[in-house]
Amino acid sequence: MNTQTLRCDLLVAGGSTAGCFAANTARALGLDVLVVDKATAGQSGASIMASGFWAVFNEDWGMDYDATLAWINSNSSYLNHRGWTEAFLQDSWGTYLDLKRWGVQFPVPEEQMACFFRQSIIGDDQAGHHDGDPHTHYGIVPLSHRCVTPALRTYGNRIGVRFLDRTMITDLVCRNGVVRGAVGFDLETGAGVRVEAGAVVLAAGRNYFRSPGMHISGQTGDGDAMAYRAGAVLSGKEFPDMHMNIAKDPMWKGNGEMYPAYFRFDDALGRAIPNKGFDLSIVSSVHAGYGPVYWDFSKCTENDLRSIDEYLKKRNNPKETQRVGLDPRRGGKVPMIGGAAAGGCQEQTAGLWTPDTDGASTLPGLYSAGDGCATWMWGAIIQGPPPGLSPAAVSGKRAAKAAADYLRAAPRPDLSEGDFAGAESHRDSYVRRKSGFDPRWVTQLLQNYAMPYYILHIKEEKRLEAALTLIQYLEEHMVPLMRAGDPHMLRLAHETENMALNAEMILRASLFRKESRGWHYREDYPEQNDAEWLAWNQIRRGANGAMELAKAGVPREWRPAEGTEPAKPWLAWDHPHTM
Amino acid sequence: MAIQPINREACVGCGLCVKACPMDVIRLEEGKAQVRYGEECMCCAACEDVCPTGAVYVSPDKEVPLMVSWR
Repeated sequence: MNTQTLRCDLLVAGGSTAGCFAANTARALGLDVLVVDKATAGQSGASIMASGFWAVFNEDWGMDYDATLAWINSNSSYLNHRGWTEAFLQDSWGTYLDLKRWGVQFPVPEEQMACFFRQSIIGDDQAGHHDGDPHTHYGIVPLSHRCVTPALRTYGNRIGVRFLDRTMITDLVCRNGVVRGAVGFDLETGAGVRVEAGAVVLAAGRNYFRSPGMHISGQTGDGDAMAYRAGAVLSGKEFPDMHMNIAKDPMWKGNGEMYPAYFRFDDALGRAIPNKGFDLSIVSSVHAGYGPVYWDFSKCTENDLRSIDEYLKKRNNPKETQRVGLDPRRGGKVPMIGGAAAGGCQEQTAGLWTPDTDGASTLPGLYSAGDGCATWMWGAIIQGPPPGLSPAAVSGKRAAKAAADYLRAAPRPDLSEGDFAGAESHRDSYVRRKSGFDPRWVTQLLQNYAMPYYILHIKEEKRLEAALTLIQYLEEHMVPLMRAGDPHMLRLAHETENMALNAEMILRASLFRKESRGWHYREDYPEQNDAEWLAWNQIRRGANGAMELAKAGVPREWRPAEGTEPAKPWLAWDHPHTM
Repeated sequence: MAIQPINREACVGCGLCVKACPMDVIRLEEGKAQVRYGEECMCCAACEDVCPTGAVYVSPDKEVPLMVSWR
């Protein structure tokens, strides 16, 4: 394979919100920065699908720091990493100011933003949807569809950030346990790429199982997988992201991201599903045999319709709903399907373990930002409006500053040819094969084993063990025998391998946490157990190559007061236990 | 099904759709954009949004491969 070698101070793997914030921040600090993306930086990642919300804390908007912190602590069931929660409170407003400076356009004037979400988006349906009044605890800067990351890239270009697009990074390169670069390949030509870097920021996003309904098929946990193989400690993975989509045309994101504006769902018997538990209520209704579930627009009031209109106007992407004929004003009930985010985890509850709130992982030279950074800033569950993209910006900036400090202070070992050999051998393993399994089929197997709700969302030991047995077989037998006849298929092969590894992490983490908390629900351990499980799990590769899990307890000073009532799992109805 | 065959007459070969696609579905061949790996289309319509000539259309409807015993 032909190989080009690139050198930089800071390699940023992934060019979406977190990666661009890390890159632009590092460049402003004088670093030579290279951003590498397997698609096109600024047009990739989950941000192209999201881009609706930018949560901020701002006392000028009437918010109280101590009250907000206490509210997040309580509503996250005290599993939040308080240092990172405070990082959000302290840094988020500055990230909004960065957006303004870097040329992002907003759908609403700044003077209207403080009240926009509360007054314009929340309709009559939201009674009981949130605990307390979350809209006074943090605010939402509204964003239009796909308006953030292209501007971040344009600004990065202007200040001299280097970008290498359509290049997939597959492996980190270390020397003496210090991360010093990475290898990958060009998607057009298949040519090899080596990057020698002083430090690396992993901003490669979350893992999903190419689930239908959100534009996240490219998010295959590449960063988590690379970091795990290199020896970093990861955390989380057991708190699932749920999400639904419309049953007609499930690949199309036809829901217009309307949930914040209207969240009324009925079961098949016409009963309104209590929406306090968000998607877990809905999944539990289906599990009890009351599906399918319908988005019930027949109950829309004029206020609800107004808030939907405001929301869609802000989002500014009419084809999203129009192309599938979704029109709330027609009323009626729209059938839904589950698992639009299957394989994903709740925000900030999965990825590299970065306990010091500077984005530094447990490997020298390796930093994490964005969805692949397990900050735990929201604990087990977010109970307010979706924070959106701003946490990625917070961690991106912090990782860049920490990497810059590291580069100033730490001597870095030089890489030798031998340091690249293992990484390049893994990178090329699928192209060396002239026969074997189609990566698309292996992905299909993984989806069938791991996506059903009774594995990922309504959990139980025997079912988790059964899925883990099959996923391990996939990893041990099918993954090594995949073939890749061209660079596109090589990308698919690596993504399949990474999804399988992430699936193993999810299943082991789910087995490990023997309690229920937030959206991690175990039928066999339905109660919250603070005595044993007010802790964050730690996932690492053991000396013998097997995955090992341990736990790090939440510090005593962050725990709830003696006698605090634990939360109940958010199920719509009790349902019979079946084993 | 998902991304439709690209209109060759309307396509000017600018390559914006290739760059916009997060899933490497489209390639430039003989100066025109072609759907090369349609199976990976996730119906995000980023390609349609960036095309300056309306040569690209993404249907919400997508077929998926059968589940078979081996492939």
